[in-house]
Amino acid sequence: MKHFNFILALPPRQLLLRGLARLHCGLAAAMVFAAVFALLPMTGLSVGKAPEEVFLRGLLFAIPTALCYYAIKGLKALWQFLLAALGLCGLAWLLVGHWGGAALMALMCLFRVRVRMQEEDEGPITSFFDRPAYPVLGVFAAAFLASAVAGLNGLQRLSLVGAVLYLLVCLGFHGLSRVDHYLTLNKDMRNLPVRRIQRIAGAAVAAVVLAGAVLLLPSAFSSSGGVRIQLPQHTPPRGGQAQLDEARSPVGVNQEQPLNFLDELGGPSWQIPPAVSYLFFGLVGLGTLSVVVLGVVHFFRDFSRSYSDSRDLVQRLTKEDRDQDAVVRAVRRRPALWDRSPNAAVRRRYRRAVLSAAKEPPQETLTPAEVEAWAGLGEHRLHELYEKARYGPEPCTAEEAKEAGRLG
Amino acid sequence: MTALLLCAGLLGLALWVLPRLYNRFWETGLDCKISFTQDYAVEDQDSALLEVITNNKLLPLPVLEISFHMDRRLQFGAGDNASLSDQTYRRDVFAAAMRQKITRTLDFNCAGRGYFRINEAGLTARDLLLTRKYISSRPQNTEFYVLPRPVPTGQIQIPYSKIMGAVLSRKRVCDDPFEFGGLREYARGDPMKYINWKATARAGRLLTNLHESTLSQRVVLAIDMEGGGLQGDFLAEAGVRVACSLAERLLAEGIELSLYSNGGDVRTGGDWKLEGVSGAGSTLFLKKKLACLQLGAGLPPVCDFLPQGLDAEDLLVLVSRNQRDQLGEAFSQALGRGHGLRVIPCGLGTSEKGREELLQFSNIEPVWMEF
Repeated sequence: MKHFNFILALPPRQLLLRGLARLHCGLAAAMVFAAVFALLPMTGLSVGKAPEEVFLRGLLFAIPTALCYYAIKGLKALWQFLLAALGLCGLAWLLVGHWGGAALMALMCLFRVRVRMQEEDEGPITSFFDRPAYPVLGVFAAAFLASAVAGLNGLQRLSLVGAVLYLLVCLGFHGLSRVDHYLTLNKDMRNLPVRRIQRIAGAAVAAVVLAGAVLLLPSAFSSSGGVRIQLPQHTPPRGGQAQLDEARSPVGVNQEQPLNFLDELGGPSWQIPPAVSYLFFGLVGLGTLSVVVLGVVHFFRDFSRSYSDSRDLVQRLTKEDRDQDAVVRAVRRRPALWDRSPNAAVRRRYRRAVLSAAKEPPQETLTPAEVEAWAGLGEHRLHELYEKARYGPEPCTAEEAKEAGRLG
Repeated sequence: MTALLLCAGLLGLALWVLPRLYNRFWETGLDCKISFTQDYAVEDQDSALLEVITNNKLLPLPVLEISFHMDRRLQFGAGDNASLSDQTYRRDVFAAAMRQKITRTLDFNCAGRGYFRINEAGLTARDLLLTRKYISSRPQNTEFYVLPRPVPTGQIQIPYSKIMGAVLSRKRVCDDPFEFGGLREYARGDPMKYINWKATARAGRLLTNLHESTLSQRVVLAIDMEGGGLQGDFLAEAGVRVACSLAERLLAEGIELSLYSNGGDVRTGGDWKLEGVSGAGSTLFLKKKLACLQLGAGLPPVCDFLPQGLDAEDLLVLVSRNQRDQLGEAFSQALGRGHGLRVIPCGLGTSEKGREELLQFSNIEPVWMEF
């Protein structure tokens, strides 16, 4: 109960991080299960489940993963954890719907025990199971390759969707963990604007994830899964191998091939009518869009007003402030590239002379005389021409521009 | 599949461009200004420091750290956000959204006398996804004086009275006929020209004018800033407070002051001295100058800093915790045929023992002050 209260007391960003960490295990496990269940029929074994179903149920593997994490952290004695591990294996089996879940959970429990023993010697260790990692995308890539070679459209689509989801989980997790790491590191600092840091950096992470979802998910969902890889033809030296190949159904490896093991199990499975799918996706899309628009409006409205936060007075810069800054910048600005007036020519010539003498740009606060002294430039006439071009009431003439060119 | 790859490329491009945008523009429109809210404060008073951050661009800075060095005598609340060494290194974190100005007020306590200046502030910013760190600095120009705390009236009264007594006893009688001081009854020997005939007619008896003296007395204060150890530093600081309180009162009395010390001037980096100060209006200037007086160990004797050929009419006052005989001898020599006061700040209950051990000089009157 104490541990449960501790979890509830965590800041929302840490709860979200923990959720994403569990989801990463669920996604990876779901992909492994789906790939195995899609590829098994090719070896002649019959399975009673479609890869899509296995994938969706495989996501539930995140639940025993989370419980395993809390069990290893909360249970003091090893025997207690081993008992809990038995229960977790059973739960994984129930949720996932096959022995693969229990086997993977048993493996996870073993790793957890090993990590805990290491932690006793070396201090806290972040386990692979608690942190999404980009290399795990290799699992999805392997499933994609296998599906492309074997011509499994369903598995290919799943691998694409799974990879995109995993990528989003990774982006979200790593973005949020950077924010969390910074805030945890500086938690004792007074006046730390936690809320504002979370709001700005968190909004940036959310925007990246949302952009990724908007860009990649529709493409992944709408993928036909028709990518094929044709392996080079290989003629077996012995007749026995040839017979085995003939025994298998001769599937063209460069064309789309629907899965047929479901048909063998009693006909095609029931599918959601297209109209319902469109309605569902339409509503989800509309809802997402509304949330995004409202979020953006709220976000910008928050930043456009003045308020006090702790000891900070946060003010929106007025137009006058911005104009004042723009005037200062305009004065300091170099002549535009397309400005071919004598004034611009003199200023360019002067700039080149200073940079060639000093090898690095001078400070912005220096006057021309100070710049020349700093750079060791002793051309008095060039100084005069520059002052006329920059500050003089009359512009430089073309002859003066030519003279400046000769001086350089 | 092509669409997916294109979209992935687009996302990758956006994630590639974002850090480059920050590389190029993170400093644009970014300004940081640190300033003290007051010009000066007295020891033990509270004051405040203002940090103003301006981010005048469309790129937000989720984390912006401002760091600067500050003397440890300015104590910020419970030592927050500060690491202490011989100086305090202070670090404050801001989150600046686009086109925002953030003002933070930091209260501090003036724990010790001094002159404090902030010349530069370090800036450390991070990009939107906190992946990269950018470092820069901004020049600052803000200064603050912590003036010496005045010594309680009861404690300063004895040395002040002695100084004033000496000043008055040396005052040459030289009346200024233009400075009317009052009336008194005529006495034999008074010059006839000072008889006030109108007042005499009204009173029915001879009355003469009294005139103020115009000849001002100069007091020279020598402050020994040699510290050493906690007790030594404390007593040397007490000496500065004594000198400050005495100087304030003497200036209010219209007495001209000159001050010398063997401590350095923190502000100019040279020797510390203040010559020919007069008038109550100079009090703040004098206190600020005293704020710049630097304590030190192994300093040369304070008497070496006194000007040669002091006027015999000047009253010389030495403020030093140092009870060594050499200092007494040097001070006695500096006085010559004149007479001076030696104010000795000492620990509580140590003056009796000090009196017994202190080498006496005929031209020096010691004044003990316990702190």
